[in-house]
Amino acid sequence: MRYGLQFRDVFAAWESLLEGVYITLLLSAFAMLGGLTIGIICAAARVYGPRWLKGIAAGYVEIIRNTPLLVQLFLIFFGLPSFGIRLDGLTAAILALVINLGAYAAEIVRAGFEAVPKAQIEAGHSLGLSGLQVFRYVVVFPALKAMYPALASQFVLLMLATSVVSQISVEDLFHAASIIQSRTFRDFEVYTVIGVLYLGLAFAFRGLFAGLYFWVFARR
Amino acid sequence: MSLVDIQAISKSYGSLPVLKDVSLGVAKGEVVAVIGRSGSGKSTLLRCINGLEPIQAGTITVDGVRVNDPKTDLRKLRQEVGIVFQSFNLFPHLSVCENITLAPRVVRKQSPDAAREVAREVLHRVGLEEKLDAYPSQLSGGQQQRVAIARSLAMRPKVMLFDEVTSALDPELTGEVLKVLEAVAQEGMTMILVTHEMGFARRFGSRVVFMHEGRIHEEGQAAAVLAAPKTPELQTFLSAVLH
Amino acid sequence: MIRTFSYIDVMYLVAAARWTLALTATAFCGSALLGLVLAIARISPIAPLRWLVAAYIYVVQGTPLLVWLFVIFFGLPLLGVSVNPWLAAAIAFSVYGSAFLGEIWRGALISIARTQWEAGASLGLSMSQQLRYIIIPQSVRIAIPPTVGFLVQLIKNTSLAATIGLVELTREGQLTAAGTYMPFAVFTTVACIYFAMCFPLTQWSRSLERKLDVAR
Repeated sequence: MRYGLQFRDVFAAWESLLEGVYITLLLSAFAMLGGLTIGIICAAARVYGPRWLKGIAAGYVEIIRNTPLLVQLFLIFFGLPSFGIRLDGLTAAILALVINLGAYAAEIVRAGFEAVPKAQIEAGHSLGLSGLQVFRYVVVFPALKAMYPALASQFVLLMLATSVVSQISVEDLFHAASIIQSRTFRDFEVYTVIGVLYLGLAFAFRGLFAGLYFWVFARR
Repeated sequence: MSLVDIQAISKSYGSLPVLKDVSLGVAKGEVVAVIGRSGSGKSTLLRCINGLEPIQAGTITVDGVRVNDPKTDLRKLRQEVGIVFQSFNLFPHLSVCENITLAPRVVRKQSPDAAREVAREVLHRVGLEEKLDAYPSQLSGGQQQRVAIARSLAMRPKVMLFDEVTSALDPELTGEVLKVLEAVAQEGMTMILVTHEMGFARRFGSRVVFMHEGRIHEEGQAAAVLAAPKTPELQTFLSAVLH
Repeated sequence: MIRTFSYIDVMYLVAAARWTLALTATAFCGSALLGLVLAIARISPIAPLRWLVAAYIYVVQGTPLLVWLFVIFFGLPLLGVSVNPWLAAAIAFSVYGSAFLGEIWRGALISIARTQWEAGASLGLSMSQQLRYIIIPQSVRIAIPPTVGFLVQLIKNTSLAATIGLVELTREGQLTAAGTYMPFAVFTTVACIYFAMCFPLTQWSRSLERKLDVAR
């Protein structure tokens, strides 16, 4: 039984922690942008695309959502080199996160579009608006508002999930733990501090998203 | 001595006053009809009597027990006060028998067999004995409301409250419910009904109370008040309702 | 010694999936017990209890599962319990899952109309009697589809137990990939096995959801 938790050594390594936070934020930013883009394309394919495209999109979503992120990451980082595609850790991580988030975002975006009442779309058409105009003026804003909470939640979950990239030695916040741990041997303290840092990031993300929601949607 | 004694009660929802200095005494065996426009406070008054809504001033006493006293055991009180709601509020996952026997078994600790016999008896009183094991979804609105009345009767309450019990029903179904209400009244039950059914109020009500903007505006013997309203508000109300 | 990725390895992987399912089952029991307590606590009339539980859920949902795994794995020895990946994983997944399952079940409880509570109260039932006889029975039907969805999440989450050395499907995959030098084939197989476990549950959850909508 170890006596005396010693956090000081962990705090002394604040530079490693900060670098870890930077990489985590970087990964999150790329993943959110890429994932959302794929999500929108995928949702559009499932709602408006021809049957074969709907099938591909649905297949993609189902495969990603029914397999673990860690396995997807390993497939990309360890598996692709068999085909001559050798990605470094960071690239592989971003690719895996984008593909993963894309599938979840696709479902959320689709739900957002389907939440717009058909009556509104019919009203738009009845007024003489073209399909594209109806989409732009009647559908987009309410759909965005509807999908926003679920999307924000998913983004926070994503930021927390970036911790798995530590398993392919990408130097994110979670990986910083193993570095500090090997120097100070304070494993429990290290991971507790990192947990608190993630909680802080999650709090900041949630606050930002809430503020953005208020600024864009709640004032109309 | 009144069975239900309401003394100068006031109630607000936040800053909105809903009941203003309302007093009413209901004696045993009386049938009191409370009428008025929506928003006049009549449903709120009813819900205060069994403690579903708290009051900010005044007292309500049911058979000597003060409803608004924080020391009062509301559960015990509610065994003596039956209430039937506008939207029946039957428990959809339980059969008619289970709906009726739930409270007697769980609150009064009756045996399941004894409770089932009571259920049979009250269902007979409302004319639905054959529906003992049916489920609410299999019944019409009128039948569900009659089951709701039976459910309250099974607890042998001293007074029964009825909150617009026919308002949610299709017109052709209100008759069967009114017949049950008549029977309950003729058995001597003390009843307070919030209702729009003026015909029922005139025939079976001992008293009519007209509420307007949170106050009791006029009250008196049913036939007299309805035939000859004294205040302009009641006159307006009656001419609107009866046409 | 490098061996080829053969049928035998596939069988070993499928066998390892047993541990994935065992861990899932254990974690589900833990999450369910704790989750039920949390859900009921969140709708209780005692305000400080509600806030405490809300704070717990906020914290758990705001930290990565990996952190919980490692903190508990390294924390157990401090309490005198010898290093045990199974126990650490079971506790970590239960704690993490309870926050999510608790929220799902709270959602089901509060979806029952207020009038059902009132009808029960008006008949003289106590709050716990109202919950037991009226509210919970009706909530269960509503809670089943998202609970099955949660089960799928849990199966995927167990893959992280590999990081503390627990031999379940993913860890077995890592070991096999190292032994055969055929990571693509190995991890694709692993992914297929996870898919075979998760996809039927996902579809079942959807059909349950559809039946529920029809019944309304």
